[in-house]
Amino acid sequence: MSVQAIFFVGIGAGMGAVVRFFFSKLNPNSLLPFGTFLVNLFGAFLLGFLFGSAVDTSLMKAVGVGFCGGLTTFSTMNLEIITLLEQGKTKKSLTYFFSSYGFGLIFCLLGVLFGGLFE
Amino acid sequence: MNTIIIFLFGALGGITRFAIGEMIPKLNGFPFATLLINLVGCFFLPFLVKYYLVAKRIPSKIILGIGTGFIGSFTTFSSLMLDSIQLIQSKNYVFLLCYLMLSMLGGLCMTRIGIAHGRRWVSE
Repeated sequence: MSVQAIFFVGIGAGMGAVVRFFFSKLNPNSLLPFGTFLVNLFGAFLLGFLFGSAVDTSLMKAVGVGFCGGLTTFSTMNLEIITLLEQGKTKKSLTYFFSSYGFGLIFCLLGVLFGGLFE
Repeated sequence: MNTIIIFLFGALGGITRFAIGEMIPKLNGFPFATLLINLVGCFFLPFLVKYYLVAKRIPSKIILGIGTGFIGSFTTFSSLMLDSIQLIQSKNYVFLLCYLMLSMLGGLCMTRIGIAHGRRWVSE
């Protein structure tokens, strides 16, 4: 784990977190926590694309491990699902839960396949 | 100001995730590191952000940094998805099922435990 790698991951993750923070402002005004939903799907697609196109390791560290990892979040998504459940919004909670995983897998696979065209 | 705090804490969260990933390699393709990171993060997000740090009267900007910045960046959804696609590609369906079930149900359980632990901690 080189200093350079730590630097790349840190810059990428910091930027990803900031973009996620701005998107999180969409959460309260929509049917689902839409900001988190969007960044998670976009991040899954982008990471798939980077993997599929076999980018070099420093770009993978900065954009893949750093930016995509920082942009997407698992903990916030789970807290949002549980909060919706506790508010009695069961249908909304389950829709959010299953569509995040379902579309997440589809978008990531599309990213891998699309990235393969640029390998 | 919020942007700078989230950038710094987010960078630290990402570096911590990267360091743990380097220390715990995939075993036969099973992504232990991501699973561990995600489950630990699910426990600490509600416990710290909703209960512990609030009770300790930590400034709200720092709580935002730790919650949205550090823990948000520490846990990852994109790696969970790519790990799963790789397990599909290697036709490792048993690992795929274990990984997805442990993540999907484990994430909800750990979040719920974090909330319960926080409520108990605050009431004591």
